[in-house]
Amino acid sequence: MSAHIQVRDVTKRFGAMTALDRVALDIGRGEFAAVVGPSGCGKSTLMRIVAGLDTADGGDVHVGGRPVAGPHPGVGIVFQSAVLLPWKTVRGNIGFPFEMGGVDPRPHAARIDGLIRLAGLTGFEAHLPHQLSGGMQQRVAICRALAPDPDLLLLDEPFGALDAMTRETMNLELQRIWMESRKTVLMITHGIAEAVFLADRVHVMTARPGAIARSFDVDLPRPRTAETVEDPRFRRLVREVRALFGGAIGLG
Amino acid sequence: MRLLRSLPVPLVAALAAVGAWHAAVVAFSIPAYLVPPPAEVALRLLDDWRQLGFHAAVTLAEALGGFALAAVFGVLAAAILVWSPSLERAVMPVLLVIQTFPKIALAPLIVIWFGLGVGPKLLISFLVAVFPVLVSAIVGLRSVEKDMLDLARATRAPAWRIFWRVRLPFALPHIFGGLKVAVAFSVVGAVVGEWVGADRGLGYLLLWANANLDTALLFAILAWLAAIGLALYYAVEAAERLALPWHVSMRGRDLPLGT
Ligand SMILES: Nc1ncnc2c1ncn2[C@@H]1O[C@H](COP(=O)(O)OP(=O)(O)O)[C@@H](O)[C@H]1O
Ligand SMILES: [Mg+2]
Repeated sequence: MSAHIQVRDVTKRFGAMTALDRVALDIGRGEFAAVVGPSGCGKSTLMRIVAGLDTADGGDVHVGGRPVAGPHPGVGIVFQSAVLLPWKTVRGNIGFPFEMGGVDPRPHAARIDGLIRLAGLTGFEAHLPHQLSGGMQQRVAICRALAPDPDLLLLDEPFGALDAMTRETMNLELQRIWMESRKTVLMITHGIAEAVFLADRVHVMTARPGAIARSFDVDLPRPRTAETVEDPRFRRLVREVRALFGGAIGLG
Repeated sequence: MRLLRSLPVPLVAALAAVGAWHAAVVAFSIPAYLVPPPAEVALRLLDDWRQLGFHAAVTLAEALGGFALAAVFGVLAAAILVWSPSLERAVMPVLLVIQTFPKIALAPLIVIWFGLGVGPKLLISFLVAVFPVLVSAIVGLRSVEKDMLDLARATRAPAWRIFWRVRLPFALPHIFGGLKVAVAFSVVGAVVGEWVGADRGLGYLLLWANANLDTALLFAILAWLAAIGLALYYAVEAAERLALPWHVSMRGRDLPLGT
């Protein structure tokens, strides 16, 4: 079976600057892939091309065997900021993909209820975004991405704006959600430890021009827990990834 | 003292201002043709209420008409400009020139072209009121975060739905800011239009009172204009409250003039 996502020699230029230089990447169905790299190396650009929100100047992307030529169905996206509609309740925001797609959300009410429970948002369904903490807003964003039951989840530094404590909790929750649903995940982050902790495979990008330097398989057992962080294999992987940046990247 | 404390602050301030006005007129024996005492103005407001009310209704109608035109046209034009970047590049420089131009200086020309009827007043009122709406609507429609629009695009929603459900609602707080400015400008436009040529309206009455050195009437007219301005402003604010409860509650305790 071919990979769920196939990125072949994708090149992207902004004017004279080459943001992505022949990036190649395969992500299997149900795989959790992470892309790490320093800021500005083209991670978001890569994700936007996979989502069909931007076009490549060279190479191509296939999702589920089909070439990507624009936004395609079955994709849930979470950005660094929750970008919720401030005038809609938690429930209304989670229903956003249905509303925009012109789909009646009522048949999906049970799923949405399940997601709300899974994300620990029970009791907050009628709250407006500004009444929620940053972590809760981001959980709403994740529920919104999952609401139409997509095959593919694209996460662009989804916890980058959160404090370290909340971030760790969210990582554990994301793993739990992923283990229950087994969706294909492409998560972008600049946190090396976060990538190794969550992913089946970590792709390391370098900057100028953006390219994949190396990919690592992470065969740590699931579910990964607080003990995983103490595991020598985990520590070795983090060290190896970090070495690729010449120690230029700090903690994370 | 206890009675005073139970009154709302703005009312107390207004009463204090009227008291100071009266005291100043008496203390410095200011002649009534310069500054009439408040009691005299109050009397004129009562005695001439029919006449004042008639002219106020004329001015109010002109201002409302100009404002309505400005609101509709301003938002529509902004939507079209934000929609089409090439059109915006072509039109924006022209708009900027018109924007910096003192529109009321066009009033005499407009009267020459369109005569003394209601039309030219509406036009002048519209011209001064439309730019705050247009500019705030452009800013508002552009204020939507790129990620938000990408998220909407990723749902593969048609462009008109993205505009209607995402762009426009995000722009509304800005648009209401512009509308609050515009509603005050629309009164200015109506009064200026009446100055240039009219046989009715508070602007016309103002010139008449001025020519006759009827300062008490002048003050009475100013009181009416102030009342009209305030009423319109609060009407827009009430509409904002109705349309954007989420925004008003988020904003919390703002200055009433904060836009
Ligand atoms: N729309 C754009 N126009 C011009 N340059 C862009 C655009 N989007 C991204 N870039 C540039 O491309 C490079 C990669 O950006 P991005 O993919 O956002 O990096 P990352 O997500 O890894 O921080 C950066 O140098 C950025 O400035
Ligand atoms: Mg980025």
